[in-house]
Amino acid sequence: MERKRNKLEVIRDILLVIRERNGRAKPTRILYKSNLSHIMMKEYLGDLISRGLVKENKNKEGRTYAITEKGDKYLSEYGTIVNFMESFGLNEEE
Amino acid sequence: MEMLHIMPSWFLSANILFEFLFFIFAAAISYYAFSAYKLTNQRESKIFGWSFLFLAISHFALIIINSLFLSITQGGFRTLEFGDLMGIKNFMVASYVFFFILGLITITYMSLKIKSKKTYFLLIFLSIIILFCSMTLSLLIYSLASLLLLFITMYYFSEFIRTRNKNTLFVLIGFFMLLVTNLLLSIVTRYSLPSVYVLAYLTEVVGYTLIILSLINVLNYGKKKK
Repeated sequence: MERKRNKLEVIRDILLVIRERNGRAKPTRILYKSNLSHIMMKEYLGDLISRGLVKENKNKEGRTYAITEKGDKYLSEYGTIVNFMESFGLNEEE
Repeated sequence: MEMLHIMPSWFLSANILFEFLFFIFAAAISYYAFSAYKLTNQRESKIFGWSFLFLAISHFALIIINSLFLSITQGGFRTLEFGDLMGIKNFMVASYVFFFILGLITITYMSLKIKSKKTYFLLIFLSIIILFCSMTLSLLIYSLASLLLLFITMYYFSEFIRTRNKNTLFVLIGFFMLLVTNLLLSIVTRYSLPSVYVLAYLTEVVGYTLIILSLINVLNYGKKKK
């Protein structure tokens, strides 16, 4: 059985989906690729927008989500951050 | 007046240098923990950042104390005394004690993995009240620090068993050495043994070096990945 992803991993997966699509993705694409329920995806996207990792754009074709500079930094620093948290016992209680 | 430290005169310069190193190490760990928090919003990183910031402040206070306020006693020893509550010297000593214990309480609170500010403030108030009402302040500081460090060491032991991470092992041994430091300092305050004070400092150097090595390994891993 596959291990349940933690919050940091889910965020990484969402950001990777957006980055793969030239830094901009539709919610349906994120939903499909990130393997989340619709409610969970909305919660995560809201959180990412409020933290400045993702930007929401609305136009005639509908809503899209774009990765920000901070979101790119999150992805490039992800390995180091996870290693730091594991080394210093900073993981959230599961 | 109650004595907090007694050290050989020849050790003073080394002592100030070591405190400066501890200040830099603690500040570096705090800085990286806050950087991780900025990106992840993860509560544990923020608490850890604050705890090492408090420890850095305590080391900074000790640099000032050791540079300005140590009195020379007979036999070539330098002592730090904590007397009446007036004056900048006692303010600095009180700041050192406060931030040192606050830093350790904050790491302990993080390791307990509970989300209750009430519990956190209860731990702080109880410790501060006990410390500042105590008649044997010096012994109590290091005994309390030893107790907190025992909890922290046990936490990192269980983390190491869970993850088998080499860096966690460094952190575990690092905190264990800091525990030994504080046990030795408890002995120093009770039996006035300056040579044990030097030994305590050496164990603290080893402890902090291992903890900072863990951070260096993490950052090197990040560079290699890039």
